Amino acid sequence: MTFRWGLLLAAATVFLAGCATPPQASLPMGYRPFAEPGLRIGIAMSKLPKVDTRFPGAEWPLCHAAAALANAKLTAHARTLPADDLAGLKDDIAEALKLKGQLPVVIDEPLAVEQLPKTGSTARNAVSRDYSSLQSKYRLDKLLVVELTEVGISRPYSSYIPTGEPKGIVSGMFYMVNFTDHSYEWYLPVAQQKSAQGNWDEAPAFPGLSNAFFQAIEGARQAILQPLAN
Amino acid sequence: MACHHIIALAALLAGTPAAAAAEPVPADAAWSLSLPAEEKIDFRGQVNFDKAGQGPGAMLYPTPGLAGFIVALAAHAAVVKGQMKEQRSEIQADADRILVPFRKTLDTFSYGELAERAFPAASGVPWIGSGGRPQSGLLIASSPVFYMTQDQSALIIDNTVAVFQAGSELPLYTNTVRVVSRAVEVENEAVYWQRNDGQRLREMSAALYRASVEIVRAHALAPSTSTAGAQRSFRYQEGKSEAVERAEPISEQCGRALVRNLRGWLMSIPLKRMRAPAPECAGPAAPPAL
Repeated sequence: MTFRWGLLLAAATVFLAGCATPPQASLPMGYRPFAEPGLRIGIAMSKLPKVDTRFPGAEWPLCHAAAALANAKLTAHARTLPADDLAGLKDDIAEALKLKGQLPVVIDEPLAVEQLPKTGSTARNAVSRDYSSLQSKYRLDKLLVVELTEVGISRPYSSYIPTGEPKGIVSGMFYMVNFTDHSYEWYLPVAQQKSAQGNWDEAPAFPGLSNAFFQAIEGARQAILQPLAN
Repeated sequence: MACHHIIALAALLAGTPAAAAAEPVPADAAWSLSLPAEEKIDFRGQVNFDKAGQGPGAMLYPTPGLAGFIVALAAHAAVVKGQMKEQRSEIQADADRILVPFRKTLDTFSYGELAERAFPAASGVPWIGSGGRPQSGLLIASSPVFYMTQDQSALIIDNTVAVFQAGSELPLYTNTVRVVSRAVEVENEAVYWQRNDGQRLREMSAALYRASVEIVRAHALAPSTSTAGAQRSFRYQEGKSEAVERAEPISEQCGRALVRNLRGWLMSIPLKRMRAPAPECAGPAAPPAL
């Protein structure tokens, strides 16, 4: 009996733990991050996701297989689209920080956020991962992270049926970590979705949809560069 | 919907190399124009479908047997297709509401007036109505569609053209030319365009049409010089907002760029003003201000 109660308690703990760590809410960048000039600000970026298609709503294996088959040409094309403008984002951020009188430190290697130790902190705006290793390695005062999770073309599905036209997408988040108290000073979720103008179904080159993809990339770039320019 | 047909046709044609002319066309050949037979000019509100078709929906198919499953699937597809079509119509209808203050002007604005304002008799580019064919020279058969930005500050033309040599039914050149005007900086845009029976709206529409035709005249007979890898994302002004187009640069002059987009369309777009215009952009020989 005690064993059963123990199991139940363990299951409840695991279940409720998910509720104990809500996702970080958007946090606007105030004046404070750049109030002091000459700060060493690291600029890191997670590994860019492969440009690909995704079909939200068609997660069940058979549905996904049907969606993948129906959009095979689109997927083949999406995988040829370059995301170079995102790859160069770190250098553009460095230029913007220089103009603000800061000392940007571009971190060349991709940042594997999921491999960093968890902090376990539940304080408001506290970082969920421990970035101290980067702080000591690069002697940083702050760290600006570009973490992109999806880059490509997304088409919504309801099981086997597409419920919308495909769109160019770039999703992820940008954030700035302050190492004095290990909190976020700026946290910006990004979800750029752009539609093709006019007809999208123009295989094999999909020019309208390709343009939408590049619009999403530029939208994501400006989402981070505009606040830094202000 | 007609817009989609035009865009789709233009996209198809843009990728088609110009048909070989029966005889070489002299560089100084005379040009003439034809416009659609419809009475009124096709004017629309600029539309953005970024928010269309948001979010996946869930669907279960609790039907017995494979046949029942297929029937349920087909019914589901029909319902979803209908919803998507309805949603697009609603978005377009919403976008067109921006034109309500100009309805009186647009109801009396004909293709004939557009042609006369854009190319008066002295211009040497006669308008020969709809479906006519000139005795000599070159004909630009054009189907312009105008858009007003949602902030009412700028106009856009998408001019789908086919260039014919006299006596030939095969076009030498087909493409769509988009010209975006610079946003007007006034207190009340609707009043600005509508004053004096919509004089400014008519004039700007004619200026955009003229600019699109001049681009066709300059590029229809020129060999295409696409450069692989030259494409980049252009940021430009579309009304008071910034827009992005992936395109290949062709030229840049007086705060405007001429680019070739991924569909092969030629686009004349206003760039963000970083500095005061150069003196030659304000002189009498300057290109028309858009």
